[in-house]
Amino acid sequence: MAVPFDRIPDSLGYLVLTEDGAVSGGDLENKEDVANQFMNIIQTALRIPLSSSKKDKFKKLSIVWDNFMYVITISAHKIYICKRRFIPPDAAMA
Amino acid sequence: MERNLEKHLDDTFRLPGIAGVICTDEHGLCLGAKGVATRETSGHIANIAESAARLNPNLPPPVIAIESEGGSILIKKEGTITMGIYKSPN
Repeated sequence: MAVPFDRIPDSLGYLVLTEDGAVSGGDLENKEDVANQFMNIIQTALRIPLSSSKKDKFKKLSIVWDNFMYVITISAHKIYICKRRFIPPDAAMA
Repeated sequence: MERNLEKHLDDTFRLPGIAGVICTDEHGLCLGAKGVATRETSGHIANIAESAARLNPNLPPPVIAIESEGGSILIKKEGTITMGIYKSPN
């Protein structure tokens, strides 16, 4: 199943992690060690309560540096990780 | 001894839209928590900040945003201190 990551603006790479394996491309292609690091981060994030409701798990997890970011979401038992260019809003206003 | 830190946490907590604030050291020890932030999460907050920083060890630690319908948390590690800010949903 092809995931249209090229439709995501400024996409630099992607990882899709499933129970059966993984699909990757761009900057994240074949980066198994990075995928394992993401799994650790995601499992920790799932343990952090965001509200009083225990069922409230995160919808989006972003890890942002100066120029790029990873955006992570979980849907239908799949973990989607997209590496995207990050353009700070102030730079756009200048 | 922690008066300065408590004041900073208080000042941050009083800002509009802030539901909680937490400060931990690099070992996950909770140095202070206000509002919805609980001491029990300090280990997870410190762990996630350290793990994210290790994704790119040559760069400064990133900002981590965990978002849900119930609100969001912004986490940033600076030196040996990690801060977590809980924001109410819009």
